[in-house]
Amino acid sequence: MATPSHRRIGLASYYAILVPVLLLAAMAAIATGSTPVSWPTILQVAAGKLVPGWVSSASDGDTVIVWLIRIPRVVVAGLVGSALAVAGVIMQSLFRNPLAEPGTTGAGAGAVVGAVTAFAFGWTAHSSSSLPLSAIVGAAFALGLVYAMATRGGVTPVATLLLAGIAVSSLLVAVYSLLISLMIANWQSAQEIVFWMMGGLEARTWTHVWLCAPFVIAGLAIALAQARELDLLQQGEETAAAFGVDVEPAKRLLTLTAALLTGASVAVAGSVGFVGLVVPHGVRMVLGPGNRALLPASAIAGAAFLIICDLIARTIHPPLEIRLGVVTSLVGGPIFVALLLRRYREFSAA
Amino acid sequence: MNSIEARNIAVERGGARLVDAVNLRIAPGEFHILIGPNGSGKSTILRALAGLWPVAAGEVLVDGQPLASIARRDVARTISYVPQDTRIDFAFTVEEIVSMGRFAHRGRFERESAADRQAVEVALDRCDVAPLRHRAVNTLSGGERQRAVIARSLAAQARYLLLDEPTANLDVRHSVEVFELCRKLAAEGQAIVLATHDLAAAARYAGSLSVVNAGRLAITGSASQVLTMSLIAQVFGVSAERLLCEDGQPVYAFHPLNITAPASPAPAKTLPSGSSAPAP
Amino acid sequence: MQIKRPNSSLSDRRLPLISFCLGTILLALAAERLAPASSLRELPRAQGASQPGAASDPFPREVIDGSGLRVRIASQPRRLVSADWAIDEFLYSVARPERVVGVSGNATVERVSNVFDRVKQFNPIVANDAERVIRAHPDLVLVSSESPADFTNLINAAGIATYRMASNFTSLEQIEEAITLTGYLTGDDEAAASERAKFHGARQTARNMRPAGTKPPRILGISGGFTYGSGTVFDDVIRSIGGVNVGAEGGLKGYDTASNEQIVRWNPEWIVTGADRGKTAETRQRLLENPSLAATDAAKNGHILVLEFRVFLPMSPMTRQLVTAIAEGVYGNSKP
Repeated sequence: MATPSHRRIGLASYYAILVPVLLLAAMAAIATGSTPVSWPTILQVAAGKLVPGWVSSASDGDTVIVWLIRIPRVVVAGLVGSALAVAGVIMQSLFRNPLAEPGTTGAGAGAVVGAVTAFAFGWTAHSSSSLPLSAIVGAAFALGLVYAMATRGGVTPVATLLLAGIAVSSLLVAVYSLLISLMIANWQSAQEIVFWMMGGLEARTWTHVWLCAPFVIAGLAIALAQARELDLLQQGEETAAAFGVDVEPAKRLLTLTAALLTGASVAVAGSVGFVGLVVPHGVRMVLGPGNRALLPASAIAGAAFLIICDLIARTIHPPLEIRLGVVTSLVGGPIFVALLLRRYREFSAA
Repeated sequence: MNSIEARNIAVERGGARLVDAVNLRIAPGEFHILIGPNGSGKSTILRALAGLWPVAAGEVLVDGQPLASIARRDVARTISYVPQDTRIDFAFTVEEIVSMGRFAHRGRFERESAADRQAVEVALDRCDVAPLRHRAVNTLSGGERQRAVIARSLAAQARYLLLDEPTANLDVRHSVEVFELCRKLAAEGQAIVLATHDLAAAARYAGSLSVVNAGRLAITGSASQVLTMSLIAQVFGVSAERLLCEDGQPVYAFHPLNITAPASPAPAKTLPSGSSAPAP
Repeated sequence: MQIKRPNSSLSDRRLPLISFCLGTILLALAAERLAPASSLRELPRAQGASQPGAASDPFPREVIDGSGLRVRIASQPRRLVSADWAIDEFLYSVARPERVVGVSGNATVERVSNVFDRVKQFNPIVANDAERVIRAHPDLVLVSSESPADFTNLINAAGIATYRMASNFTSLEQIEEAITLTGYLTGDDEAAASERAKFHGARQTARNMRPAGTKPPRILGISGGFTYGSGTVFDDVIRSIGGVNVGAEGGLKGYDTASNEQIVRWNPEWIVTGADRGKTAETRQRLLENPSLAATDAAKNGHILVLEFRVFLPMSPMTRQLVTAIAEGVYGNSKP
């Protein structure tokens, strides 16, 4: 019987495949839109913005379309994809379960509550950043709730954290459903919120990039710095403590990081599911569970995955844009079921 | 004064007092075994010694210093705890698992050093898991996994090694090997504290024994001092027959109790050497 | 063996959480502040839009829109885009249809659109996507006051003027003013004036339809469990034709819920509601047979008026159709 370690591929081969995939996906995504833009134009705009002293020959309209619509959209997709994938890795390691998901921190639901509040009070009509900011505040609030519920005497058992996360998520879903139902009279706004909630990257621009990039980069860096702690935590909290990990602070930091990454993602992209579940799982199958390698590899894979899903969302049924969350569910859902079945088969065969 | 010491410790968990008034001191070079029936508190004592569970009364001292005042990382370099639960759901290779034992020895961003590599190799060899080094740990048998986990603790090169029921899933050969390994390690200067309910092995290998019953240490001493018939009957609920092998090592055989045990535990007494088991 | 680890419990829980929450908020604010000037910043807020100027004002015309932004229209806009359902109808009512190059999605849906025929003929783009709007090279884009800032910021960055029109009208007078405003923005002041006159005329005609000496009819408008209280366009429509708005009479303000129980208690003489095209008769039948409404005078006398959705209720110049339809239904003896 071939053992999983034999199925692994080396890091070099992995990146040799995945980095080109990411770049190609990004290029395809930039080149595709609701109106045609030629590659020379795209390059002109990019050069004009990035190369000092270059005067671009592209028109104003083209420049806006390439630089303010398409490129930031792809950048946000990449950031959100990597954030969700890394949050998924953290969750799966912390809960010692390859099928855990970023949503279990409650931060995702909290972000939605924040966003719905911004919609309900009409802040979104005034500024681009009101919605993401409210979402981030909501995520922080949700995480605080979860932690307060699950901590006793300075100790937060992981099982309790999981339950508290699910409980708080359900509670917050009820809260934002209530908010939406109260606003339903203004059906235009209600429609906008519901669409936002299903995930999407339309009209995302550099403001959104700057709003989520610091969180995503910070989150990735913290997770990577804690990679070995994560490895040990995967073997049990007691084991981790026995080998020198400060378990409670490490758990706190990692949960915070996962919540940060999830909150920032929902803030700029709405609820996008399955990325945090399916991408780490797939990468783990190929690179093994060591977090030092898994974290950056999942980040890259997550970025590519979401960029491709966004591309599908835009191109599969023009001029309609399918909601991004719908596409990731349609793509990720079957993969998830396949993974479950295979896990069940392995389990019953063992 | 190098030793690991529990001074009159009590451990509470969920409102219940699991162990009380436990006094224990093990120095490097000693192979100390805690025996007792299931649920008697052996694991609790080990966890308290390892600093994983806080003590409600008394204190644990490591090399004279209170354990509570030492940082986790430093504790891990001195005390190595091998847990009972070896379940690992992820496909780490044996080599990866064992090298995680070096966690406390490396800085956050340090690469693996030659010392790290060597400790890992030695540990893999010692526990006879070197041929399995590239196997995924969740595909191993229970016994193989147990040995990998022990190797992980060995890689930490800690002076005090605490093992919680390490032979629970092992076949007889590997079980014997683990005990032999512990004996060897003790001879090389490590302090070993091992919890088991395998009376026979404990009797054979332990330098010193503690019998744990209902959260207290019933008695501590050498095997012959501790393993009296009345104590075995009282604590374990079996009658024992002490036999001597050709090499002079005592071996115990156990039978069901069909007489009532004496009301109070008999004081420690030395059995005349060469004698067979006294009549019950 | 060195560092001492303190034994913490309560402060362990609260302090890190509070500092995390605060830290997150500060970080988010800082991130927003640091966004470079070339990216899109917020629009300044000010106190409401200015009144349109005189019809004789020459271009360039300057107005302040609903979000306080000063909008400068350099010359009469040749190409117009609307990103809102109601605004579509405003544009088509004052400007020649070939000038409208972008409409909202709803304009292309036949069963709810009052401008479908023109959309079909002239094929404007659907303005749900900033890219598409920019490509259509419009001179002016009209959006509703609730439109998200992301959308308008992008369009502005391409050098295209946008105007935020308040579209949550609460009276027919406001609609009439909006007609004039639209004409001012697009340079079609005369067309706007005549459209306004048509609108006003429809109100007059409707009022005159009421037979002399009759009591004002008590009319209730319902829509999916909600009704129209005082301060709504519907309320104004009913008062215009000389009727009594039962919702307002019942003390409701604005668009609010009304249970069947309340409706029975109010006992309206007429019930007006909307339905999909082709389903009006069916909806009327269903309402007549609704046991909880059966106690009302309206149901007993068969006084239930079901109008197509594009008539009930657009909040645009087409609202005059509603005025006429209700008046005819209530006063005339035309079949509802």
